[in-house]
Amino acid sequence: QPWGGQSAAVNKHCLTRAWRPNSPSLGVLGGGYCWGSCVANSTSPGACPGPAQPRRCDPLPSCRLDQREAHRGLHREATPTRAAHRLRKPTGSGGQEACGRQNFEDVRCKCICPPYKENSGHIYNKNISQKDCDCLHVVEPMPVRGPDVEAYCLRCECKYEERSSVTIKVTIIIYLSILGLLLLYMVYLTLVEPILKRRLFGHSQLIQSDDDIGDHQPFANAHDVLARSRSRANVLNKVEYAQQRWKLQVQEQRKSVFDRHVVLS
Amino acid sequence: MAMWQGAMDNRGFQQGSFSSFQNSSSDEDLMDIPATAMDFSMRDDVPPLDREVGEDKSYNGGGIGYSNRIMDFLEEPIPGVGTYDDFNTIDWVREKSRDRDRHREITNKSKESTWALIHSVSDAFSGWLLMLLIGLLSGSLAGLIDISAHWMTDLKEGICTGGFWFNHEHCCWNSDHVTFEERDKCPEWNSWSQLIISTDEGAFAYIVNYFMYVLWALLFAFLAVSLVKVFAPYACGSGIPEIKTILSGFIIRGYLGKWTLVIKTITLVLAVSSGLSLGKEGPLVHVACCCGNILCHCFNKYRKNEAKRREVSYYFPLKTLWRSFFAALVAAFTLRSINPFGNSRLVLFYVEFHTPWHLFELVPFILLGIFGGLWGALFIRTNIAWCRKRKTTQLGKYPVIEVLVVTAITAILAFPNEYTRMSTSELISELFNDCGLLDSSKLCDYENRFNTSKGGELPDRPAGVGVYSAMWQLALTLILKIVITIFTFGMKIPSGLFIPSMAVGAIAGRLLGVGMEQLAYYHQEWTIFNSWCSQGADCITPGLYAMVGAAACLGGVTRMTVSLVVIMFELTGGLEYIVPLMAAAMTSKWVADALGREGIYDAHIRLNGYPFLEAKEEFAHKTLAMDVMKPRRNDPLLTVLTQDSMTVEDVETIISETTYSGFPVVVSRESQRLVGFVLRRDLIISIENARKKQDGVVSTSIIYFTEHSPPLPPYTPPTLKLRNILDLSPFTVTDLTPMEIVVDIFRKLGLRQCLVTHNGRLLGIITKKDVLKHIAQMANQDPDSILFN
Repeated sequence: QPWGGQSAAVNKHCLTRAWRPNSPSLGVLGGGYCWGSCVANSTSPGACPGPAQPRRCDPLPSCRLDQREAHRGLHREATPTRAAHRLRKPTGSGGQEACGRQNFEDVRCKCICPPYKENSGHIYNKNISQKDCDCLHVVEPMPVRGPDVEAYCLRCECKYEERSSVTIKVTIIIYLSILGLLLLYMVYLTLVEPILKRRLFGHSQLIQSDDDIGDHQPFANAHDVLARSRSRANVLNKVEYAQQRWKLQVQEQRKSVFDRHVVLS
Repeated sequence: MAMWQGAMDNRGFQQGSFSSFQNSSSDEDLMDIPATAMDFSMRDDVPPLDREVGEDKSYNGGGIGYSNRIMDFLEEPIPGVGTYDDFNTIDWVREKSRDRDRHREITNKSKESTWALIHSVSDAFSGWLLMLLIGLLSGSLAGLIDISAHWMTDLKEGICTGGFWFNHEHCCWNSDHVTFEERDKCPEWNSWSQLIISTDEGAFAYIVNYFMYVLWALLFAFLAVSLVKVFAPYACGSGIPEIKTILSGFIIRGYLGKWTLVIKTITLVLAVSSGLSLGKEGPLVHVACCCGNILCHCFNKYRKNEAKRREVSYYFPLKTLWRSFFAALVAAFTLRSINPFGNSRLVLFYVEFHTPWHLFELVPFILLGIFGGLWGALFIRTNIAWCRKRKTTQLGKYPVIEVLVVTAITAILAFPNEYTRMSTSELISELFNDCGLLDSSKLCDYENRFNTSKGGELPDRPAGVGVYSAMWQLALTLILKIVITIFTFGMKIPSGLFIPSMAVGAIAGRLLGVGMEQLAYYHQEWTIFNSWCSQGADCITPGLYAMVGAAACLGGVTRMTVSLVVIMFELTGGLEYIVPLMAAAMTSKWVADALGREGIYDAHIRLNGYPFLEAKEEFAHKTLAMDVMKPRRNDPLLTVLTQDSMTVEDVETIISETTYSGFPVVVSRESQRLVGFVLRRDLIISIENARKKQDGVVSTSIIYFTEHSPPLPPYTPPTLKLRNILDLSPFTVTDLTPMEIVVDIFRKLGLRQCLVTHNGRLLGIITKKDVLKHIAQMANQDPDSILFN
């Protein structure tokens, strides 16, 4: 008989079982808290009957809980929220592993509990499913005993949060790689290319290159190269041609923005 | 996104029923397609339809019922004329008629075969698909910007050892070592002083952190400005003034291109995280527009029609602008539901309070409105003065140094004050927040003298020490933000205005709100308070004041009211505060209007002299078309072409001697009776093509615009028929038309030029720029400030 005695553990069990975050009668209380006959009657054994007792009071994380439920089938009365919840969860043999791993980092239930009596304020974090996100599941060990649990939990604010750390990781890495590529290209265009050009074209174009570099404008020789690459209608040159055309445009844009100040000043 | 949607809804699919009046002018692609010359590769990928190419070669169709697109010239624009018709305006009427042609053609064909039917369906469907894609793309870009900006902002202070890609909040996400007192500290998050000198205490650690903060800020700003300078100069600024002008039919080539998109996205993150006083909302509009423009190239329907892309916009420019703003917002929303952060904060600054407000509180709200208006007027005036200085003096020559100096000043001043150190959007969300018992920030450091046994609403409480020190810091923040924003907006990096001006308003609002709250708490016996603010009641919500203040400042700067309230509503999700928001926004608009006439974006449009015809302003002067038209009385006669007597050489001489973008065609110089209008660019390209491809066209060949070639003596060179490039239905008014009507015509029809006749004889021409100049002249402004006259 698990219901004997008046220990905090029993209270907790019973509170847990009687917890109904979505119950309409408690909607006005915001998050809601353990309430109802169960607390009152917890002293008398068997006052909280029901087929769901052992599992509902199960302190295990929801994931395993659901797994067990899934294996046992539906011979258990379920509230609509629970039923919906179970539908969302992965079931089957592979489900447990995936469930545990996915939820490991990206789900949390955070409870912020303000100072109460002699206890200082505390923040509790736990990986737990949304339906179990309440003070009673998350706050462990419970700093207060007996009837204070209810008062303490009333003040706690529990929030269920999800994130996708993979998305964050991928996004940051994509962003950094694009930025890195652009920076490399920029360095190439502004520093390396003029030097290469000078070395390649040798003395015959030295004066020309000098002018270009004297400009301190990257791509300043675009006109020149453009004319040259146009004259040779080679397939390979198409890329270079497109690049030069782009350079010309950027040069034009730069002129209008930075030198002539006609747009975007 | 919504812009296109509006287009579709309004008239996108009903155009087949219009009767055509003009078919042969289809090839002003010449003018428009090169406008997006950034996107060559796109055009190369999609070969033009066979039919069009076939018809290009035969230059004799008479043009009726066919669309002669001279696509093959466009495939290879002549280098050197790179920006030949950059900064031009497009002609709405012709674009429209061209789209009708295209649509009718498809409708006719769809009756012929199944394939054509499918084609027509896909044509109709492509608009919706396009919207979806634009939404998705801009949404993911917004998400990318958001996540990266958060991360980089925190990078200035430290790094996460648990995974470098986490920002501060997510670094401590699962940590068990977060305490109630210091909620944002966890062992996984290392500040730079911890990493470098392995301590977080003491003056030296503070100096190290300070130094690293400034250094990172400078690095980010430098990267941003140099990327902008090297790759895409058009990516700088807010973009909204330009978008507004572009939507009204102005062409800034490459402004919505791929490179601009990439660079704007990348540098926006850098700029935001460098801690400068700028926001990312305005540039997001630009980003979304770039997405739209680029994706348009994937669809034939939009690829060829410049006007179609801009759609109805000119008639409701502001509305469309904000629609596209909403599109960016909605897209961001979509992305958040995909859940990158998942901190249950779906909207930008989620407002959780739903406490009622009292009628008396309208007084402070209106005060906030006045403050917003004053700030708006001050900001516009000083910012424009500063931008003008940048434009005209030596200052504009050193964009990189300017950005670096401003960043250094901002960073050095910002670090000591915790409200300036945090990112501006964080600051705003904290200001909007209503204090609960569990909040740990200094702003919420009230004295809890009451018994908190029951949950629910908190009554007004006396302020604690923390609140008072927060007030001082906020006041300093306010001053810094006001000053630094003036110098920041308009620098050569992507910079938006929304967040900074909202921050200014929110700080002012919060200050006033806390003041009111304390006033009400200590003076409950006052008549104004005792009727509704009893002991232990929660009667004043400082967060609401902050929200109203933000709306007021935004309204003062941008001068919008209804859309602003809707935006604030969208941003914060509070329905019951429409009246306070509206009151503040209206007041701020009135105050700001009294002090200065135009909003910041219009002021920037005017500063740059874009040809933008404001749809709202009334033209109230009694001038006539003949006062505005060119040539003026003393000028030489209007340059015209005759329909069948000019040689190729004559025309080429005219082209090379003048810079007009189009020429009227008359029957003969003596009669001056109007035949049509031909565009300069069409003319140049057609002649060049004819010289290359048509045998025997030499300098002495006669050009004719008539249906049949004129009778010619034998042994003359073959003639050149150019009727297909002639616009046979140019818009005309008589010389005695009041300018009021002319301005209205230009505005409503989106005309580019209009010919002036007298008794059927051609007298002159009025262009959009003439109209703009005339308006400026009438308003006693400098008419030469209009761009590229």
